[in-house]
Amino acid sequence: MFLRSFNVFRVCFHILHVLNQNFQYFSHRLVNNKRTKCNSIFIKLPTNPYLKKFNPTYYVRDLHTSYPNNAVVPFLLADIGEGITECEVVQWFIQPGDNISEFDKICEVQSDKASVEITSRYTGVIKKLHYNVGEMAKVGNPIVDIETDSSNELESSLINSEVSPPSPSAQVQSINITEPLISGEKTHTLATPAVRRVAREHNIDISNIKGTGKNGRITKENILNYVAAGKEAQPSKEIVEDKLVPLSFIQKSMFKTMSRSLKIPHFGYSDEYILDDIIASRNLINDYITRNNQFSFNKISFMPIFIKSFSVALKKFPILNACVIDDDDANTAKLKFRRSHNIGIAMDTPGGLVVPNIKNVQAKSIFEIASDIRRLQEAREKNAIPPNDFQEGTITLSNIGNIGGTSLSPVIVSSEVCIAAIGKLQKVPRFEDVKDEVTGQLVEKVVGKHVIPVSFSADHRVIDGATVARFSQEWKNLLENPILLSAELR
Amino acid sequence: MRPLFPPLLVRNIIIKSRTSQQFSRFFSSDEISSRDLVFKCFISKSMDPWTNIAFEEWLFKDTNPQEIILFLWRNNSCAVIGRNQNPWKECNVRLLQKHDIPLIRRKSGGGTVFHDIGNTNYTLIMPRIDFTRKHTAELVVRALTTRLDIPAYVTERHDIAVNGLKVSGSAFKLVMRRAYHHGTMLIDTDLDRIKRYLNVERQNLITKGVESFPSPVTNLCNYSSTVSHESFCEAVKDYFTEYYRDYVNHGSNKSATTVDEEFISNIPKVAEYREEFKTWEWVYGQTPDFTHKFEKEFEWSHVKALFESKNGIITAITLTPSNIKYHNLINALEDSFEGRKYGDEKDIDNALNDVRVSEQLSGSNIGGTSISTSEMQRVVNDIGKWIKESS
Repeated sequence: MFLRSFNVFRVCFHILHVLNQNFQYFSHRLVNNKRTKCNSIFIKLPTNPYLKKFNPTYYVRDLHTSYPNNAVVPFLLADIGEGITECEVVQWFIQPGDNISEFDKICEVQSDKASVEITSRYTGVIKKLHYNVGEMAKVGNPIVDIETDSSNELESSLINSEVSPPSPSAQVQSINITEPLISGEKTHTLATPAVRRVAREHNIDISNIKGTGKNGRITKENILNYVAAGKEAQPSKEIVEDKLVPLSFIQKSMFKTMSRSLKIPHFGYSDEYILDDIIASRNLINDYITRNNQFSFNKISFMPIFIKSFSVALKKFPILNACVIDDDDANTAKLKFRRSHNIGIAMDTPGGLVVPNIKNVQAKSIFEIASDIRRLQEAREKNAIPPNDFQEGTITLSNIGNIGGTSLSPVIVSSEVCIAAIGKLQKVPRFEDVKDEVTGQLVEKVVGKHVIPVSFSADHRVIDGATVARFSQEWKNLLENPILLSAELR
Repeated sequence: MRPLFPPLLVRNIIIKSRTSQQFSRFFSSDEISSRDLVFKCFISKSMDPWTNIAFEEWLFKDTNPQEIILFLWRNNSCAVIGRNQNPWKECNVRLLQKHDIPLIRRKSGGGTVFHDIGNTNYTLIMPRIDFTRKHTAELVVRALTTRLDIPAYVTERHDIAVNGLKVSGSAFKLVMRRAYHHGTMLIDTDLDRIKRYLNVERQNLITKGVESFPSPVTNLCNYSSTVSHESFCEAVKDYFTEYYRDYVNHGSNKSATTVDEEFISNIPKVAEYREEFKTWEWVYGQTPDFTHKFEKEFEWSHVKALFESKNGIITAITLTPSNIKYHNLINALEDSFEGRKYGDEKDIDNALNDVRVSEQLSGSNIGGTSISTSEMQRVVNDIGKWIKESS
């Protein structure tokens, strides 16, 4: 009795073992959550003759999911076992442009002792080889891009409605009209011949238009509206279908740097600065600029003033301008104190976030800083900021105020230890002791103040909260009392 | 892929439990299990290295993937390099050619080995999904320990060692449905010969590809007086047959198939593979890209050479003499060498002859600087001899 149940237990364990193997073999697809086509899952049961009763033959279950029409799918190098993370590409069996079927040989890779043939999981056309012979391919990274066939699409569209997350209306719709949910050039659109003629006259691809008629039919009005919208040249950002878009260059770079920054333990600190005096000072400076035509700009924003006062305050807290070296271990880690304040300013470009820096702020005047900013802005418009401006930043100041925001939580750049972010300037009511004209005594009144929220994030491995708090107070002092800035002049 | 529950453990339970009698009353099964795995053993009588490796290839590619195969073989003296290795870096090609010792490139990865009849090779082929490196090495070790009383163990590089010294190196190949692990076993090899043929000082040869990992080696005969090729084959075959007894076809009488010339001649594919293994394109043409630098002081000038090669062919060669007088002759030599096979004596001679012929036709006067014919001959001969020695 015991032995029989023990053998049943072994059967279960064996199933788990096989499922585990299957999971490992296909796991990258499950984890990536892409809609990809799987092989069949083979479930092999143990071969023990004692358990012949429980011993069916191969039990095969087919799993089909579909992927977008004509998509270029990156084929990842699967785990070849033994903990190997990268291997050398020894030979390619195909070239870009070749047709390839599932299970065809793609390439041969070699790790220290094992020579492994990689076979394709998709059917389609090879678009791009990611490595040359002799280069090291990393496990988990794409090795080829394959453009998959569209013919697989339609046959599994019915099954797709089970697999994709169903909402009641979508499911009902999917039974009646499966096509519009899965868009692509070859889908069948509902439109009368007259409507199609109108579309042809306007040279529009009818499948791009959303129909509002009965049963999703495209009407003449839809086409005319589409043409009118097209003339206004408004790019619609609306997503009509799920799309697989690789990261742009800036996004990739942001991805990499932010992933690195993750290893820094951040702590935050926020405060509010009252900027009435600075506003008045800035107006004076702008008047001066318009009177004297010697500058390349007509007026300055708050940024040059912020940056310069930031640098002046930073002189008293040099640790915030440092960076951590050899930070793998606490015993080897060192702090590198840096003499020059290269303050990075976060800029929003059409391509994304970039952070160029202004060098040696401690030695520049507010006007010089303003002209630097102007130069960077002009370069940004042309997407031509020189790489030198991105290097050797020591601390960053991010201004999101022109878009809006109050409480911010910026991420420290991985080669720095501190970052400050400024929100939107707003006029808010505050209490103040005002000298009453009549009695001559101090009376508490509600006055309007221009207030800006500031948030800091700092590396808690080397900086403590008190340091940042004191720095913030120092900077606040300089900003709320601009005359102190001139007192620091040398 | 690491199995969740090592099959070894499951197997131990089967070996230890003696329930087969009890349960056969309830469930009878004499036929092969429903997974259709079959275990087969082959022992080769041939000692021709090309034949053996071609036969191994046939077993791997052209038999049923559900078969678990053990193949035992040994070769006459030959050097075997890994799939992605550089022969000039790994072994003394010149010496091998001089002594008529074949150089073979195998299809699995790993490093360079030297075979002779004191070395027995084993190959274990099985479905990919069952394959792990440690498991297959472990089985061979158990065969040694249980049947031959040799205290062997598996090292972390999946080699087999005794007493800190390596006795077996291994390599693997994985394709879609199948994988194999093959290795050497030093039973009674002349270790000095290994050193002689595989010892190469080529620091200035920089190559892509896999480098060998040399380790101190020893023979099994130092640890057992009964070990020999026959006893090793017997031990491994018995152990594996016992281990895979559920998959052995009990119907056939012999436990292992003897592979000899007659057997192989019935399989035309083996002859095909054999030819493929012998071609220059496979042995030398599959060499990864490399560069080789060397220099020498001649009486007439100091010359530096830089060879660049791709697929075993010289793609670029730069000879830099310190004496400008021979500059033009050297340029002609460079042009002549391009496209020739690296290290191939015949091709080098052809290149030199081309230069000699063109020189004589143009009257030893290339580009203005005149050199006497005897001088030209001397330079060309010197350079030819030097390149032959160094490459």
